[in-house]
Amino acid sequence: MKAYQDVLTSVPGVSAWVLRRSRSTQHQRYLLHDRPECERTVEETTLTVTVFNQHEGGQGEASFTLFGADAPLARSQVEDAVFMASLQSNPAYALPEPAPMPAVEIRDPELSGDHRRVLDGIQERCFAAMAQEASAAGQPARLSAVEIFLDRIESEILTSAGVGASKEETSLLFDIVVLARDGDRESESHGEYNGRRLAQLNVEETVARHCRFARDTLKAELPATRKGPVVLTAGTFVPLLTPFKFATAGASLYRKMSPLVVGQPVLGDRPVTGDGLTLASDATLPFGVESTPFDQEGLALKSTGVIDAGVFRAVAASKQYAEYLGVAATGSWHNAVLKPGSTSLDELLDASTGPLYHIVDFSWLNPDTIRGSFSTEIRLAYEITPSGTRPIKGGSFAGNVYDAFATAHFAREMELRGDYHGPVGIRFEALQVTGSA
Amino acid sequence: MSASFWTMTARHARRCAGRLIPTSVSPWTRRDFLRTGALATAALAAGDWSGRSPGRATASPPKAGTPAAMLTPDELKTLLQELVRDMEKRVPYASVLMLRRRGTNISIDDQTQEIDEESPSEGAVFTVFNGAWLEEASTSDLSADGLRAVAMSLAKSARLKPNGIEIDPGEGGERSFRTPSVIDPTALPLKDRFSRVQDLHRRARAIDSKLINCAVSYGETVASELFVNRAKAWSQELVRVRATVAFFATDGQVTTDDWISRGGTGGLELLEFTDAELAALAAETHVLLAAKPVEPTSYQVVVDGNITGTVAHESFGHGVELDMFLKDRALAEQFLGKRVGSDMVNIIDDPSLAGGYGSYFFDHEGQLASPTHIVENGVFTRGLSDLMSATQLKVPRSANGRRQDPGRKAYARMSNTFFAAGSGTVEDLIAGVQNGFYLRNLSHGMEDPKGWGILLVAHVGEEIKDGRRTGRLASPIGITGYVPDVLASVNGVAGDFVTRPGTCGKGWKESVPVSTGGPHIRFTARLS
Repeated sequence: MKAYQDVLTSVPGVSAWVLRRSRSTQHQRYLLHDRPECERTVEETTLTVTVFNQHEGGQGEASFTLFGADAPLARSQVEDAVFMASLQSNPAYALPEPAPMPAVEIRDPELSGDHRRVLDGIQERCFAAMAQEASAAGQPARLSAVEIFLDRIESEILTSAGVGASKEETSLLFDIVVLARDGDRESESHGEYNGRRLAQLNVEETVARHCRFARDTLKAELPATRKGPVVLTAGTFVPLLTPFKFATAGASLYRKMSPLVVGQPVLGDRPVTGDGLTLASDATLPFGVESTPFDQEGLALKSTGVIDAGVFRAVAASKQYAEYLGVAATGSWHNAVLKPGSTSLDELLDASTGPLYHIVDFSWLNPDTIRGSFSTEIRLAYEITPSGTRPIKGGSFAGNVYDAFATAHFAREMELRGDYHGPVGIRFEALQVTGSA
Repeated sequence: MSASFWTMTARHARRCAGRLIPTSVSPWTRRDFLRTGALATAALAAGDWSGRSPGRATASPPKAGTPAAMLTPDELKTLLQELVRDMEKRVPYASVLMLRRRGTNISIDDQTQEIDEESPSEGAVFTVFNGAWLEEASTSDLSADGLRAVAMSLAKSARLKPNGIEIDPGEGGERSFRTPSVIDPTALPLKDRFSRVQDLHRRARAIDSKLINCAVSYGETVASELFVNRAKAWSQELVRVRATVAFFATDGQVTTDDWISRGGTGGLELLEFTDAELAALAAETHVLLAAKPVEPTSYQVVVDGNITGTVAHESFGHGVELDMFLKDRALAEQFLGKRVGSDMVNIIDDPSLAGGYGSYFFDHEGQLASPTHIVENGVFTRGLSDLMSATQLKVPRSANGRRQDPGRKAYARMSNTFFAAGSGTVEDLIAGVQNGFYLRNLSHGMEDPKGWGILLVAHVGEEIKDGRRTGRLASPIGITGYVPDVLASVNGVAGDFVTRPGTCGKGWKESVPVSTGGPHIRFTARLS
């Protein structure tokens, strides 16, 4: 890094710079039914160089990436980047000063060693779990496909402001599709674990859950059209947090894309009959997918309470947008940590006062980040009534997150799922499901 | 580092189909082009990884330790051909793909200006067939020694499983290709491209002072690819460009946006916006503030070409990727040769479509691009294959083996997927609707090849009553249905035709550039 630093400091017009080097080793295994489809190794080393240029009109920045170990950094490349930066006229801001970096658990020793042994172990557990499902009475289930990715990454950062830090992290992706058959009809269910720790991956539970979902899909019917209580579990509700993350981000506020004001309720003047939303951005969450001790400019990160009891308390802002907005630099959004409620999931699913829908899979829930509106297709859900439960699929689910969270009750049981930590389920009291008349 | 707000966060960046992911049109300026202009362009078209003139070509092996960036095109080809030969001394089939993608993204809104690189990638992928499945090794170490070490290690460690399957290396020879263009962005100085984006932002902003923000995003990528197996050494350079204008309005309570995008393989001639369409966009952005949810039920709908293309993409696009047949994940497998829609339904995937955002000359497994007529007059005729699915299913290959980057495997993927045009006008289609909606501006879509559900989300829906547009808008509008029902209900296909750029995922990952398109069509679906 010293040689790169020497090149950067020798080029006129470089007012500040950031160097980020990363070396990753990945092993991938793909299974087609119960046999190999492909096995891959991936080695990649990159150096990303960012230079800043201050000029009369303001400040600009430009980045470029070099590939391969010990890739040479040419003076001409830095000069080109300075030229790119000089074209932009944004308000100037300073890079983060050195600060103690938090200790963040993002490396699993079990994923740092022999990847092939780990791949074999996961595959073996998966086959064993599927063998039980294949022999189950009634509708046998079988494996369609599995993809397993193991990754370990070492990276370091060095900035002109004096920040120097490094980290080692691991990640694991387990992607599975199972099939269930009933006579001529067959259905599938897709499951995924995306995390950093082998111990968090419960292969057996994942296989069992998705075999159950595939079987239930075979029996599922179009839901009845109804506006009423809906409970979302299995991580299906996590995308509903996206509009809140967008609206509380420094980049959105600076661009006037967000109507929210610090100190004011995020749901406006809607009457809140639910638990109230408390949401934090936490870069230090142990083994969170978005956990990291520092951001891309070397800012030391922490947990920030962004929304507290429904009130917008702090902006999730990088150093740049923090300076522009005159707020504290907290870092942009990382893991979303949602405060649990006081009700058990079983109680949320209580249909004694009326029927409800319990949704466990969507096609793709992708709300409008600006307006908060959403409309999607139900891939699998259950209609729960006092007289029993039946699987449903194929109807649509629509609403607006700001209206929906006014009536939201959160489960008290918690889970870590990718970049989310919080309740395992949320009950919304009045959402539209459209299916049969 | 503010880079990528408009490309990764703002919703207008989402475009076409599959599991929709923000379009990864990358940023960056090829420093080679800044420096040597057209000479470097010619060199890259011939497969030069240095951007230097190809004049120094020799066929002798490179010296040990020489980085690929220092090799001439002939030296690199010679090295890779030699490595393929050496690998095939142990395995029945070997190939290598070198990929480099660079790009520049320029984004200007009322508050900020950005020029940045986005998702650059570079590496070599060695592939061997061990008799039963593929084994691959990918590396970013492009030195001659590094490439040799990875290739030999892969061949040596391959677990041979001879079972009688043979891989056809396909058409042979040495060929090189480059995207044609009128205004080549890589030949223009960066300052000129930045000025063009500034001019477009100024022009768009001047349309309406009541808008709270106007964002213009421009992206260009240059993908340099070289594929070598025992029969061929093919190189291609693909230039993709894209631009979006987005307007934002508020009434103090609600904030909304609307956008127009253009894109394709080619030059800046593809990115024209007229004042009239910008003015219409601004007006619609304000009207969207009053948009209400649609009353959920079934309607007759008329949809624009982008949504039409996404109907094709999500129904008989993903659903006929033949690797999904191998996994028993596609219901379409049971419908080969059977009717799956009205006789007005003609669905095509064509990587050779001139100017299409998903166009290329050959796929990542060395298959020459050509069109596939998937559904012909309502009958499902043929699927889309990668190398292994075509080999194992014993069907002719189509050129659809694509990978996101060197770090990912190739799958069967779409390119430019569209409905063929019919005849008549959009007005004819609207005139035939008693109670329905005119849907435009796709937000995103999702496939369900096994269950044959379909989900599309349109950003704008305009009510149609008694054959006339009323001006009343709804937003967003979810379009759901059962694929055979939707395609069977197609009862009008207009004669217009557009394609729009997008990024397609396979399931929840593996993004590749694609386009979707077609004419306006009319069908029946459930809206919510």
